[in-house]
Amino acid sequence: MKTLLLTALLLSSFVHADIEVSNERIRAVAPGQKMTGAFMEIKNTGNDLQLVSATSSVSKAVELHTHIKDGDVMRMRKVNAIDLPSNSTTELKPGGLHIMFIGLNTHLEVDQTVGVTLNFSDDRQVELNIPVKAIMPMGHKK
Amino acid sequence: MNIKFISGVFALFVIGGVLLFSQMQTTTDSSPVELGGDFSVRTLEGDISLSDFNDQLVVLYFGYTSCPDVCPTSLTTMRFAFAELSKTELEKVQGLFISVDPDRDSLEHLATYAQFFSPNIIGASGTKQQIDQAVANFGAYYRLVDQSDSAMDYTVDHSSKIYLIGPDTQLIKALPHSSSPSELASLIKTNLP
Repeated sequence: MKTLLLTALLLSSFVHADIEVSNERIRAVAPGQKMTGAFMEIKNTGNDLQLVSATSSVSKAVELHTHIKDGDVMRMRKVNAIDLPSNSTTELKPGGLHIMFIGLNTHLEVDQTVGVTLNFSDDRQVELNIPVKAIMPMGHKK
Repeated sequence: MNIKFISGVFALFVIGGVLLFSQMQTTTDSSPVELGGDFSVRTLEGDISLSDFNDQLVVLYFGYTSCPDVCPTSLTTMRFAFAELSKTELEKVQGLFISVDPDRDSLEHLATYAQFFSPNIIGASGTKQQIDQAVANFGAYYRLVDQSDSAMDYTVDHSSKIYLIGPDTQLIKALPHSSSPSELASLIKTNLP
């Protein structure tokens, strides 16, 4: 986490102390795969805030999505923003909120990093280098 | 007369209740036990039928490759369940991923996609009719949903279960999305042909 904050500070002059991003990762996908998702935890120790968009050159489009679990049926939907309430940590995780990369321009190798900018409702931006990881089912250690 | 009226209403309630109960019974009776049946789908290597695997268990999952995490999670569960099996056990098991989104998922891509998770998973799809037959046989669900505000154009709502199928094409058990690799592996082991 410390390293990450430091990296974020080095990478961007827009980082404010009241937002901390941790455990960020992008799902490694099969060759030829055009879409993937990124997950992370966003801790907000400041005022209520929203993540309004994310941008990256790795894909044609980057969107914020969520999954709605309706019985056994999973419904993925685009959302306009992700609420980050004051003094709480919001988790973007498999089966829930995620950042969706649509139309990948390149194949993503495990351990490479992808530059992604998070845009918040107070106009601030946080730049991240998110590593590509093989994501395991819950509770499973590689 | 009042009493008559009240007992009349009461009787209606009783009849209604019985009818409702019997209907609920019917719904409950459509339990997984009766699900199953042969179907055919297309793969890069040619057409296959569920009945081709008549000396193996089939572990089936319906999804689509543009699915960012629900499908990969289930296929990774399959992969790690297979890793818990011995070589001899694994020979009696076949993983099968059927895409319900054939317009976006080519057979070439489905072959690569399935292999990415495990060499023991076949990637398949088919005509709408073929897919609907397979989906209906196992009580699964999918629907293409327009997302004109998204670069995806449409997304696919789908049930996320792992179906363990016997060599007779009948369903042994449908595992919920949250099942662990170990749960799937032990279910496979206890049902090996």
